[in-house]
Amino acid sequence: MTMPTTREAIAVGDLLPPLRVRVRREDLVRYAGASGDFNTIHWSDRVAVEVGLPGVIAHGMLTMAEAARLVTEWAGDPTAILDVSVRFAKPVLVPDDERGAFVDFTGVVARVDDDGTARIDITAVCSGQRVLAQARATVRLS
Amino acid sequence: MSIDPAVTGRTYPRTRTYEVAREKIREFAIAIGDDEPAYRDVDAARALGHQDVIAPPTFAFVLTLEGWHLVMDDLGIDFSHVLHVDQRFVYHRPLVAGDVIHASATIDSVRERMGASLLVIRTDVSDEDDQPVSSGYSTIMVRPPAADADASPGPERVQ
Repeated sequence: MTMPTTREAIAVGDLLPPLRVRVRREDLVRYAGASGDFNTIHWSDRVAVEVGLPGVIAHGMLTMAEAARLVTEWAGDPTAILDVSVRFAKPVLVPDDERGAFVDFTGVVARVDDDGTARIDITAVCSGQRVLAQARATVRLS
Repeated sequence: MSIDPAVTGRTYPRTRTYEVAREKIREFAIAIGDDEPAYRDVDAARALGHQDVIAPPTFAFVLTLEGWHLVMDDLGIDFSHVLHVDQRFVYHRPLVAGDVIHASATIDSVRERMGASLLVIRTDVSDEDDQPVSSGYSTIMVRPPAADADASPGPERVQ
């Protein structure tokens, strides 16, 4: 269910419906193929460890795609995002098992402007750590 | 390694063209777990006023890595020492199946921070009429190569 996003209906402090995303190794394979990003640290534990990581990590851009999805699903409009930015704060470690890693996304309306846009502040947490920082999107309201 | 701030503003030759296609958009939408109809159903996309299926917002990253490679080859940066620390997109319009796009990379800024270089590479994506589609700003951290635990310090070790 999407929340109404007309400028009359939304207010600073409104929470977006949260989004929980599961990321398994097979999801990284699928995303690598779909995005063309075949960086080895997203599929080889050997190489990930060689460069100092605890193991295979998710593509930062996959996490960013999910952050954007949090916002477009709430907006009910896949083209609502005018501007989106994230800092990749911590990697999402994806174990080689059937459970995978879970990333929980939440968003809050941080600002509503007279020009019909709003700013959403996004958080993404995995295993108790914020994996994104300063994640925000500017949306066009209907 | 430190990067000469004089490279700020340097723009690289445009990348190859890329044809945005329905099947790739569908594959990408599945990969990010988004079941939005406009990413896979032409009628749903047209109902929203688009010519064909549209791509999710971060699909616009598609030519970015090619632009980074131009920058890194030019500056002599080893990709294995690079960390993508920040990404921003500013959109003029969504990508639509049928678009034939290209990208142009520009070094937006260079700064040094705690022994590493932070480079912001701007990737401007345009369509075949050279109209802007989106601009991406990628902050890349270039770290000095990690010291090999078995190696003794030598003049080639970068601090």
